[in-house]
Amino acid sequence: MSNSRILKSSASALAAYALAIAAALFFAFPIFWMVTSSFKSEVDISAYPPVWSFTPTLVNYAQLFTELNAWQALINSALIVGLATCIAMAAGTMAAYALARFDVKGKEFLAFEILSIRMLPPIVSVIPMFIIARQLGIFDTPWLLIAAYALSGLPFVVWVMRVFIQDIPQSIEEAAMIDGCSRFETFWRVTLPLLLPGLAATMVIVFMFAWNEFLLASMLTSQEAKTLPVIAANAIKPKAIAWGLASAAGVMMSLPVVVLVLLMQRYLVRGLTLGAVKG
Amino acid sequence: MAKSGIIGAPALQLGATKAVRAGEKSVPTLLLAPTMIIMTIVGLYPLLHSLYISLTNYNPTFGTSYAFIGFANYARAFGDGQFWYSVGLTLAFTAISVALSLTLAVFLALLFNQNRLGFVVLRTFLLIPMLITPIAVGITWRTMMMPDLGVLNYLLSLIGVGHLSWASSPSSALASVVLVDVWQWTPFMFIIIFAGLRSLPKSPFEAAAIDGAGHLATFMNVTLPMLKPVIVIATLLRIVDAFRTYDTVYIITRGGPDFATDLLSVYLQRVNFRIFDLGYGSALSWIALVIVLVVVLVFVNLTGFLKLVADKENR
Amino acid sequence: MAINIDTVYKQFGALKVVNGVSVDIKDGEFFVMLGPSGCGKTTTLRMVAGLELPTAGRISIDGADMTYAEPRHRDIAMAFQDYGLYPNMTVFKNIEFPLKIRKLDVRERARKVEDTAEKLGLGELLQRKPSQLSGGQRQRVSLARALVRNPKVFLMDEPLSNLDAKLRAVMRTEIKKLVTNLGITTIYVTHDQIEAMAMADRIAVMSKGNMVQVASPLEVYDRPKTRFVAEFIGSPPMNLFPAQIKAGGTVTCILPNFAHSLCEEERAFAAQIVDGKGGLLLGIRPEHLVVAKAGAQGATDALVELVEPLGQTTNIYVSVGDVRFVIVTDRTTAKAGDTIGVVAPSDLLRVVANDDAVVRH
Repeated sequence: MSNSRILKSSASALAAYALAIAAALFFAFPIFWMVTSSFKSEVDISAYPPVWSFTPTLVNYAQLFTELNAWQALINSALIVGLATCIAMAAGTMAAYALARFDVKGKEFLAFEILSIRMLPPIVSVIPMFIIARQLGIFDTPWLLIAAYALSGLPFVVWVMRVFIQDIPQSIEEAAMIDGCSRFETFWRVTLPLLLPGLAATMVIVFMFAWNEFLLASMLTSQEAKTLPVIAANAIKPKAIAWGLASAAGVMMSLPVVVLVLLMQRYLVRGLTLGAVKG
Repeated sequence: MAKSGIIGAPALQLGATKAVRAGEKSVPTLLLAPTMIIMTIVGLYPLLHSLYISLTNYNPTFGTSYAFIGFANYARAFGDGQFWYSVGLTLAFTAISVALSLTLAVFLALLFNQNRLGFVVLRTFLLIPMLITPIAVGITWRTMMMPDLGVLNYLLSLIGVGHLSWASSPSSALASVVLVDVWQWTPFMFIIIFAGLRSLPKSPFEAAAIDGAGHLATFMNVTLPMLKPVIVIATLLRIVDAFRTYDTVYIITRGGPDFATDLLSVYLQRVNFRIFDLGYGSALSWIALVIVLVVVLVFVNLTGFLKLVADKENR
Repeated sequence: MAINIDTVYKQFGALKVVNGVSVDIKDGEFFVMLGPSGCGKTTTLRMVAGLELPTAGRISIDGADMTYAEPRHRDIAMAFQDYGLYPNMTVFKNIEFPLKIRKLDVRERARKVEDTAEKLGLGELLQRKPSQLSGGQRQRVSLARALVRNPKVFLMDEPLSNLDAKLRAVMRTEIKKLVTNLGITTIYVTHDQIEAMAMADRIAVMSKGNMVQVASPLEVYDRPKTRFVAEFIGSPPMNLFPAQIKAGGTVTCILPNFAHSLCEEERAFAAQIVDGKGGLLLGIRPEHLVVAKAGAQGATDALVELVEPLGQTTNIYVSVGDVRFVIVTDRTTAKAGDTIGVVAPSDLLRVVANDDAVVRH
């Protein structure tokens, strides 16, 4: 009896490990392939059967900067995404505070209206933005993308920060007001320090979506304001595809997000579900 | 009488009139103002502008003048077979991809919910795909799926499976982009459902065990109903995103071969930015928007999403 | 400092939470607002604190109109049910915070914090974070933070309701002692009648946004004015019977042996009660009923339905026909099914008004 139970449980452990490792391999292999490809020379990358051990080279990364003008794109991406994230964070947190702590008329309606931006396919607003930008002369400047990314980050910030703010007991703020703080001092000295982890996590998610965005970036820029995804896509020409170069671009643009998100893992679920699911 | 106040502290002023405190009523309005301004200028205005363009024959390649043509673009759209083919394809892509990643995510969440040594590390691998820039995902999978030089066909040949044509043949192209989508976004659903599973109370499971429920019965009658809110939220977000899939498909197939992966976003991009038929493109975008809204509303009504959210609010 | 609350109303949308409450709280008084949840007691307290603004009415502290003053300008302190401690600050920083906001000198701050912490037995815990403290310790920190600035008025919103029963009893006496020694005017909100009885100089019993009765604890217990007060205070509650006034000022009820003649004071009160429609009740505390032999002189025979021996006392639930009531006595040999005699001493019977049956003048 007990022998068969042990047998049964070790069999199920074996099966669990087999499945878990298979799943991990499935999800990790393409990343492994992308990273190794980025360090392969042109010969190694087109070898068949594929080579598994090779002499790593940085030639693809060097080419990123010489041929694809990656510096410009990196600066553009950092500037556009950084500014857009800051704007969305500032405006969104203010709105979230109002929705969380005050009696606002039609509060739920307002919240859903803000959420509806999340539902809006970018392909709908890309045409008018294209036309308006041409008329205003801001086509192919960072400003257009900053505005677009700030907008698409807003619903995340408002919804997630509202939940984080609601998590802070109101009595803490009331205690501060009774202890002698004005409303602003209360927010600045008591609420904000408690919100910092939530703010950081939300910021990472907003940053991630803007950093990875391609559709708007490819259609609203042509030369000057190109971001990293756009130049990476440019590495793929219908006939001659620079696979090593493209992989290097992929690694370079994915790295910041992967690092930031893994640092903020604890709050990720909350943010991704707009605060609806506790991580 | 007890001496009151703090000795040595500056006296606090009494700025206390009804008017001053009534001024607090404008605080929430001020706080909401920046969000509302951004939403109106960058969100609402372009949307309305697009509605207006959709009623014209605007096409910048024919100069800046254009005419108001009423609902002609919409009438044209209803006869546009390619458009409705794209709509159908996108709906199918969304349904298959979301259903597959949901199933896989639930299975993986149950698997990793067992506390076994090393599972925490393995779990981290399941997180990364969703963080990779979709363009990079497209590039990598396109490399791997090359029929003659790709590593996938090489690996398959090792286990004796023959030569697959992946995205380069019309018959398997849609399946290939679904595979990529499932690979990238199952992690998203996985971490949400996993977190949901972790936060479930223990007692219903213990009760089910005492009642003699087997694994399957427990899953169907206890786990799944309790996970419903989490699954509904994850699925809704995924549906909205799958519907607008563009980046990976643009890189891997550009809608081809032979329109086998001509998703709505790819088709619209072609109408708008290859032919620059912006009036017609805007009309199509609006129809697409309405379709998304209908899909979302149907889903929301079927699952009682709003009620779930409202329950959360009132907890 | 004295606090005057003058016909204060509070409405949230269509919901009327406080309905014209007026009360004068004396300097140094320990004033308890008692009532079930939703009776308006917490809202009234929050209006005194300035966390809510009244829809109408006036609140003054120490003679100054504070109706619309910001909380920070009222020189009040408050203890919250969930303590309201700053989770990111140590105990020391928590207690120091109100002094820091007032830009008090650093050394002066440290001295005051340490003094107050010592007084509350927190000396050892100053470097801990709130999450490392027990519930009782947390409440002590919140009291220390309130007391460190020597406020005019101390407001407490159910400060003990998150603690277990034993600790609650300990903290109850501690708070009472502390506040009485410092002579700070205190308004204390609770739904726990024992807390109210034990601590208060005066109790205001609240129901549906009104102060139904404001009096000393014993007065409220002995002479409840309305059915609500009679039933809310005391466990088991007061026995009440529909009653009429007979000529000559005798009050009688369905049980002929339970009769009471009105004294001068009661006459005036009884005159305020709308008579005839069940407005008038005759009440007696369960422990004032006396058990006698069945059929004894002046006793009412009653059937024992249930006996609850509680150790110190015993509850006997009895019925006379359709009329049910409860007796609290010492140990008894009576058991369910027995018939016993019950005597209601005439001078311990009380006239009580049914709710909403008091004519206001």
